Amino acid sequence: MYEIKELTKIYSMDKVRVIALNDVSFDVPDAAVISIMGRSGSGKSTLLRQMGLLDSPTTGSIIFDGKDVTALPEGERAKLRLGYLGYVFQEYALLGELTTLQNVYLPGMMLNGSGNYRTRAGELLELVGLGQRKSHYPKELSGGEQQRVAIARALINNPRVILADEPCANLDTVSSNMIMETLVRLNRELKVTIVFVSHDPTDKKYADTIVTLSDGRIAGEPERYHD
Amino acid sequence: MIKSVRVAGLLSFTSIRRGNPGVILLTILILTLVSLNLLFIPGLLQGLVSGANTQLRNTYSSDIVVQSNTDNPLLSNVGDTISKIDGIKGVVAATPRNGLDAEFIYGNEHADAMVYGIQPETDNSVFTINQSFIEGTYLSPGDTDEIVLGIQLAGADKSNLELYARSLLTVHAGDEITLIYGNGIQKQYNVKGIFYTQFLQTDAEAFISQTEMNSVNPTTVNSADTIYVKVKNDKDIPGVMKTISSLATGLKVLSWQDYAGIVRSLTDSLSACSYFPSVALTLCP
Repeated sequence: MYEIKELTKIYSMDKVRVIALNDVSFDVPDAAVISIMGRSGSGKSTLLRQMGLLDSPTTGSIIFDGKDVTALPEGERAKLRLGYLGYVFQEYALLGELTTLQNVYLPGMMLNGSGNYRTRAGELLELVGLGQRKSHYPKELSGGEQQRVAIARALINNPRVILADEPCANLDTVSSNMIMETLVRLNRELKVTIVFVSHDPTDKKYADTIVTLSDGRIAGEPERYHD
Repeated sequence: MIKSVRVAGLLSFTSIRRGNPGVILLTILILTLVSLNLLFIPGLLQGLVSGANTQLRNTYSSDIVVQSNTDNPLLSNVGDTISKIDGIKGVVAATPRNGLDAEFIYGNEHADAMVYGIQPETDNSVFTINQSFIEGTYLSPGDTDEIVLGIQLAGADKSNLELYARSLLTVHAGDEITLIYGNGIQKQYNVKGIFYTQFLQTDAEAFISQTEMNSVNPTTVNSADTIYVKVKNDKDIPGVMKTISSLATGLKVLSWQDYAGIVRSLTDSLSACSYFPSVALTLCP
């Protein structure tokens, strides 16, 4: 699905150059669960932002479904993000004025305009165990529940891949396990590829393959955790 | 497009329904004021431009300016030329002037400015300076030893004037001042009046009668360096300019816009500014 080839990202601030990613290459097969791990500042989130087309690498290329998407114009990137990629943020990024149902169906509305996105949003909330909380507002939910709403929202347009940036960073252990199990279950049931960033070594058990970053480089070969 | 409208509608509706009513009302109030500003500012600026142009034409340039286009800067037989110009259809009046630079002295204060010899009886038909006197009175045709000063030149103890520091500071009507003309002649004058047209260039000038100018500079007898012409309607200007040009060779005929120079560029800039809110209103309804 993804082929990451020799990806380098350099940030220039005044006269200081920071190499956030340095010649990173790996593949993401269809329906896999990939964990990107590493210490804080190792380049994990930067890598995920490149894969999510939220940013452009300095050099290297990103192949998605056989097509080079590295240098697509912003309009094309936005279409690709909306239709094929689901992004889960560490801080949930839910809109406080919208109910959970509205938060989930908003990207569907943006993509299709009409159709059954409301029904689909309800089904996804059931899938993540929040079927009874459709009319609640984000501030009425716990952190774990909000993150599950964010996951449901990421799934509304039937994406090929979900990119999750430290989805459990702000959650307690129980909620973290629930989120990770939800992601893995979605992978099994919907065959959606999951790429998640984590700095918690215990999250390794949820991944098929672990890519460990250190100072912007892949440390060793990607590690196969499950076959 | 429809998708975007639907999404925007949902977000707007939920924001209004769930938002703080005070913030919503404040937002509506601010947007209303912004819209009103966008509507009124172009009118305000256009009004300023129109006002500035009117003052320019009434006190400084008139509608049409006639000068010499030859090596001799003076127009000769000016009486005949004025008569011919007065006979052109659409012309209200024409008046000659002769300018001479001079140093003004009052006590220890010195200032430099142009002095114009004018024919008060026809000058009043072209310009409205005679209606702008704040002290004393306007010139009479035979006045000698009398001078009228613009407020920016006299100072008149008005320290808030733009050019006060460069003026004679404390001159009032009835005071005696000394002029040293550019041709070397020195003469004392009684300040007969002080005018304030609120047009800076005009208010920095001084006027004497043409009779007096003839005595100071005899080369100006029946001559003029400039003839100023007032027309009935703006639409008459091109036709009158064309007719004046055909009266004689060696005439340079300028419209008030051409003559205004830097003043025109200032008003043009102001006019251009007035379009920005209109553009903003069009692009950001």
